[in-house]
Formats: sequence, structure tokens, C-alpha cells
Amino acid sequence: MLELECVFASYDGSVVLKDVSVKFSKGVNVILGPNGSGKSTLLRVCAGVLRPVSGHVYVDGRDLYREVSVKSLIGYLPHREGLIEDFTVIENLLFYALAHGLCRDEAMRLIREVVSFFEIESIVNRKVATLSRGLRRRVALARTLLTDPKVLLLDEPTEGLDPEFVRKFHNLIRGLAKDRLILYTTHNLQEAMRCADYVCVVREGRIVFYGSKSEFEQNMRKYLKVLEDDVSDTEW
Amino acid sequence: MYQIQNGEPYMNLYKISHAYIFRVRARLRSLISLSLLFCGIIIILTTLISIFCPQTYTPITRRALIQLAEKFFNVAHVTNSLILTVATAVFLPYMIALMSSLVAAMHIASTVARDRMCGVFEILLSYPISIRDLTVGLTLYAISTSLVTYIPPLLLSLPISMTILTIFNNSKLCNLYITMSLLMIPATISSALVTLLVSLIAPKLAKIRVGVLTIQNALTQIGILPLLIPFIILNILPTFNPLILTLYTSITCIALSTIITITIPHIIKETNLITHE
Repeated sequence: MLELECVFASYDGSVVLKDVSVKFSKGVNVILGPNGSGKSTLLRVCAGVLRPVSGHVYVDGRDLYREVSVKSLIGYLPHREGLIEDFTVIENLLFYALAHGLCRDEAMRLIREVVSFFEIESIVNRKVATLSRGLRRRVALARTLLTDPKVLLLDEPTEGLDPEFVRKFHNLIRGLAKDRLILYTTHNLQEAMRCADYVCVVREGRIVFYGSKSEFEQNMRKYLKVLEDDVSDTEW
Repeated sequence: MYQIQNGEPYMNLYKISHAYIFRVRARLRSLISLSLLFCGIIIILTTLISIFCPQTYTPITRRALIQLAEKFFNVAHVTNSLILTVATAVFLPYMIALMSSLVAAMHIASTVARDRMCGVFEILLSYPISIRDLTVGLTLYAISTSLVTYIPPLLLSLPISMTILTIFNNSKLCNLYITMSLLMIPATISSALVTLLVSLIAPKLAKIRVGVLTIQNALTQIGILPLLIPFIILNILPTFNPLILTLYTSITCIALSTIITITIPHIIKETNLITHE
């Protein structure tokens, strides 16, 4: 469903992704790697946000950077939430729904559903600038799931969320992963192992491991060194 | 279990335009209030200065106003009150346009900068939207913002100005006022488009600060240039037909819109719209 072929990506002349070729499987794919290894860039390339210098990204067998319509299958939650600060929560959700191509009535119906699911009814008329990090994250998650994407790209989605909601979110992710592909970056190995079907390890812009969770667990000691920056603050 | 239906949404220019028009509508009240506040202050100040310190006009402006007064009133000796009346017809729409353009320029520049910083463009680029669609959406946003900030203060000032002008029972001057108001519409739109152009093509300048201002914010003030040009022309050539000037500014405005929507998508890359963490 999501395949990268010889992808090189760069920012301001410095190469961040180097010759990445991988075919992600359906289910929860957790991306692990030290800070600055290229995890977020990998998500950006997969989301159609950062055009690779060379190589191809295929979603459902169609080139993401040649057919704009393929992007309707993607839901992307970047590290920055992308919420408009001086808008209320409902205005933010409506703006993005309209931009995605939903008609107003359909948008409002879907907004009511996600607002209820993410328990943000009480803050829909509050300006985003006044919300805590955790609440912003919830609003951003609601926005990401608004259009029911088949490929979900989540850059540290649970950062700033309270433990109870993280648990609820993991259940949601597990449920969604049945018929979707989810790419999920996190710094928390425990969290990664709790919901991963597949693990992808990125270091210095290259994919050094991609396989099932059990394969990763078998070779874990080998990759702990690679992940040491991430592991240091976890209870792995 | 959470489930929503997949609506297979179809994205086109209309949809992104719809989203950006919604964005202007959501900010309508604050934009109009800010514009009215700025315009009110500047109109009161200009009127007071014109009445009590008419010598503050530069010699060129004064000469232009006298020539206009001679033309409209057919008098040999032009009094200060006549100059004030002509100044109302010429300057009032201009001052309103200048102030509303400043409000619009600040709003557009800060919107583009904040959208880049907060990741709004990043989200939009992950939607079925090409850079061209996004540019068209932003162009419409800039045009509607400039209209929203210009039209309400102008409409509000219209009865007051018309009353002053009709006291002198001079229909030519009323026509001049209306022509000037119309002339300023394409000029304010051009100003907003120049601001958008600078904001989009020069993201790196936003990182360089000079005091409290970033160089980019300082550069967006270039957006005021399209407003200055008709003003300078009317100062130097007061008898120049404002209607022809309106035609020229309209052509400039259309040319600018075309340049932005056709050229910019080829010039800017995704990296101009997103920030590297």
C-alpha cells in the first residue's frame, strides 16, 4: 500500500534520507531512531509534503508526486499540530475539512463524530491559542482522522497526552490498523512495542531494519545500540 | 469503535478557495474592526491637520490641490476651504486605502509566516492540493482580505464626505471622490498581492531580525508601493484623468494575480512552505 523506491530527500542542500527503499505492510508500523535520524523526514516524504530529490513514493500503486488525488488516502499528523492559532477548534476542523474537499454539511457531520470521540465537545468554541499541549494534540488527532484516511502517518502522536487518553488512543490505533496502514514515530520503546505490528529502525537517513515485531525482538540487542538515544529515557 | 464513512472527497481549486474564503469570513469581524479603527484615527487626524495646519501640505501637493480646485470651481483665487474640500475628495479615499492596506498587509504577512511556522502549509500539502491550488487559495485570500479591510471604512465615510462635497454643490468633485474610491480598489488589491508575493518567495528573510522586525516583515511594506504610484502621479499631474489611472491600476492588479498564480507554483518549492525542525 505504501512503497518507497530509492528515495533521497534533502533540506537546504543537506541530504536527510539516503537511498531509502521499503514497502510498508498493513498494520501499525512503528518507526524508531535517534533524534535527527530522519524519522520525521521519512513521514513528510510519505505524506507528499516533501518531494524527494530522486526516487518514487507509491501509495496504492500510484505515484504520490504525480497524482495529487492519491493524497486523499493519506492522513498526516506532523510534530507541529498545524492548527491555526487564532481560530477556534471548530473553525480549525471546518477549515481543514473544506480544504480536503468535503462539503459543509458532510464536514459538520464528521466533525460532530470526531469531536465526540476525542471528548473535546467542551472546547470546540475555544481558541486554539488558549489550549494546553495535550488538548491541541487531541484536536490535531481529530483533524487527522476526520477524512477517514487509509494511510495514517503520525509523528509522535501521544506526546503531551495524559496516560488514560494514551491508552484509549492505542485501542483506537489497534482498531484502525485492521484495514489501514499506520506509520507511527515515537521515542517511547514501551509504547512502540505495545502497539507495533512492524518495526522500522532509521539511522542517519537509512533504514537499517524493517521487519515484524517478533523479528525485532529477536535482534533487539543489536538495535539497542542504534536506538540508544531513544532508549535512555525509557524503561525498556 | 470509532468509524467514519469514506466520502472519497474530490479536491479542486473550488474547494481550497472555499476553505480560504471561509477563513476570511471567520476573521471578518476583527479585520473590519481593526481597519475601521485605523481609518477612523487617520481620517480624524488628516481632517484636523487640514483644517488647522494646511501649511503641512508639501508645495507639490498644495500646487496640485490648487490646480484641482481651479479646475472644479472655476475661481481665480482659491481659498483654504476650497483646498480642504478638494483634499477631502482626493485624500480621503487615498487615506482609507492606505490604512486598510496596512492592516491587510500585516494580516496577510503574519498569516503566511504563522502558517509556515505552525505547520498549516505542511498539513495542506498532505491534502489532495497541489502548490498551484494552494497559491490560488492564498491569492483569493489576499484579494478578499484587502477588499474586506477597504470597503467597510469607505462605505462608512461615503455619507460624511458626500455631505461635505454637496455643501459646495459641486457634482464634479463628487464624481472625483467616487472615481478616486474606485481607483483605490485595484490599488489595494495590488498592494495585498505584492505582500503575498514577498511573503511566499522570501521565507529565509523571516529568520533574520533587525530589532523587533524581521527583514521579511519590513519587506512586506513594499506592498504599499502600488498605492503610492497613483498618488504620486496625481500629485505631479493633477489634471491626469483618474479613470485612465484606474484602468492602469486594474491592469497591474490583473497582471500581478496572473504572475502569482502562474509563475509562483513553478518558483517555490515545498521547502519554502515548511520549516525544517
